[in-house]
Amino acid sequence: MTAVLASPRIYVPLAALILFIAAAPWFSPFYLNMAILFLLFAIWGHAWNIIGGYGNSLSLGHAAFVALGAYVPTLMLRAFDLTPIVGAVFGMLAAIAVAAFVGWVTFRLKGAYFAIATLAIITLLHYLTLHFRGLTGGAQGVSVPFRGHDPLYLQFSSNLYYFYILLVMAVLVTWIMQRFDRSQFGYHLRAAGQDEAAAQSIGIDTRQVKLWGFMMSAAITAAAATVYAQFIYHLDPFYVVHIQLSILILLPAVIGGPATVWGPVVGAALLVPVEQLAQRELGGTYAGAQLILYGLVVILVLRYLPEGIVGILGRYYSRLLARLPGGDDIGGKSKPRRQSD
Amino acid sequence: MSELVFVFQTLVDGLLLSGGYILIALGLGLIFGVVNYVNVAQAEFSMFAMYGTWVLWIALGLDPFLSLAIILPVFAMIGVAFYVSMVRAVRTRDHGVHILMTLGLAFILQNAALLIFSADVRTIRTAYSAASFNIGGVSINIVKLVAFLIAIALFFALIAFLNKTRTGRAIRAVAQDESLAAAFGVNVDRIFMITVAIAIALAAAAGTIMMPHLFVQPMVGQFFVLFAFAIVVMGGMGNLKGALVAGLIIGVVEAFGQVYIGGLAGRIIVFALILIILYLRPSGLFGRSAL
Repeated sequence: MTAVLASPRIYVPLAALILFIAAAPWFSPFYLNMAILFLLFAIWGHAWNIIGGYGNSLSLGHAAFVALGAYVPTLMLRAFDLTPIVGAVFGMLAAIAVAAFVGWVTFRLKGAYFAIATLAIITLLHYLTLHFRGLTGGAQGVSVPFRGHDPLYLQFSSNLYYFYILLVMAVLVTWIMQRFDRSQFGYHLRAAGQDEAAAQSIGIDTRQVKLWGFMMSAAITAAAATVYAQFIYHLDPFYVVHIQLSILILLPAVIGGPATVWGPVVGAALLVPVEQLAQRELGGTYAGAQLILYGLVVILVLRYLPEGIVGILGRYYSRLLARLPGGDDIGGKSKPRRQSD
Repeated sequence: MSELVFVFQTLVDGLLLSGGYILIALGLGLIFGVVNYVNVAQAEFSMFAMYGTWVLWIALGLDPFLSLAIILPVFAMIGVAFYVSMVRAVRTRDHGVHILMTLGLAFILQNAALLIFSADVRTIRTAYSAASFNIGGVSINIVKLVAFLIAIALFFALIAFLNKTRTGRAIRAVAQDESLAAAFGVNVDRIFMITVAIAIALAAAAGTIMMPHLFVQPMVGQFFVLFAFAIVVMGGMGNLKGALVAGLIIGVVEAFGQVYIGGLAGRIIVFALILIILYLRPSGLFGRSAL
């Protein structure tokens, strides 16, 4: 145990995590909100990365899974007084079902069809939400019934609780992704995404593998969305069920580094603070200015850094770790570059 | 109004509104079919053309339909700039890269429009905006009719250009086999540039002709492009004639859904249709043709 802890590869992230946990109670409401959104977009980024990064299938529809994870438990809470802890399961099942349907229809096709189908599904869900207003509240949205401090219903007197819940989820999902990254499933999905024909020639059922990846991605997205719904307590279909949110979800992984474990985390750690600060500083006078910046960053990263920023940061990080006590002093060894073709 | 007249009225309304969407879809299909590039920001150019038309109307009092004479060449040049900066270097990479990069561009253009023109809805109402005539009880709005006829005329002009001119035939040759065309001395890069310029000009034309009967605000493109994708999927990716027919069908389907079911049902049917077509006939109703 101590031998493991002595390696800077373990103690550096662990120290950062402990510092993050310990510092949270002293965050101002603005920074607590920012930290919660960071965790949320890190989780959603991980989830998107499974299919969008490893599976190399561009999903523009992840807001649909957020919508199902947020709306289904909330509507069940309003109708049957069901706690969102149980409701989350139904939200995840709904998301899995939609992912299974879309994946089943499109994973036999090549190229842009999957992206177009996911675009169609989020748009469809957006208009369905607006159309069936008796059920969903339509354009007004729907609120989570207020119950005061009621942990069994995921309602708390302080947002700090949501921070810790999402932190546990984020650590769990990161751990899952670490395992996934080295698992047979992970290798198969990567192979299916990189070169479909080659993957099939060595016996991988690429359609099946992508389908499982997409369903897993949908389930994780929906689970985090249920917690998010309790945190924001009012669901606005022009944010929660909207293509714009789909794009915000894919940005951390794309900019951070697609098909890497730490890409979505680094991406979210960069993008969320920039967005929040820009919104606070410029929001009133120059609404949308931060999104122009987002657009520029996306274009530049895709053009010049297709592997995302962890590709560069990772090298510096490895060199730093190698110099720390317990480091192996062989730069680059602690973060091996993965074979990408 | 008798039931039959009402059906015809809905049919005409649906058909007349489809012109702009067809032009956007033609541009999307042209870029896809020739350059093998997916441009999600296509309708953002329509949005800027709408603002351009509006500015020309406000500042110079220029008739929106006449402003096509300025809008088309200007946006063809913008298309060249778009090709050089956004398309050329990443053309051979995944469609996913194209989509993400043009999504980034769409973000920039939408929010630039928001900064420049604010979120206010802008409209152009000309002296003849409300004018309409009547055929057997079916009322036809002049502005919508003119817009539709211009769209159809541009479609046939495009088809004639592709079939009759040397450059047009070179474009078709590149769409069929890029390396073979290059071997026969076609300057492929120049053909790509011309194709993208035409496609962006078509998107701009769509914006301009829709301006007198619709409205513009920074997010309109987001909706237009979804409709255009529905048309492209239904007509077959890269199939221009398919796009024309699919555009007419989708326009009519949306109108009937809206009139007979109400609310957003028309749009819901259109987007459900995309998924159904991808399942039943992924190559589109009319197949994927090389132009």
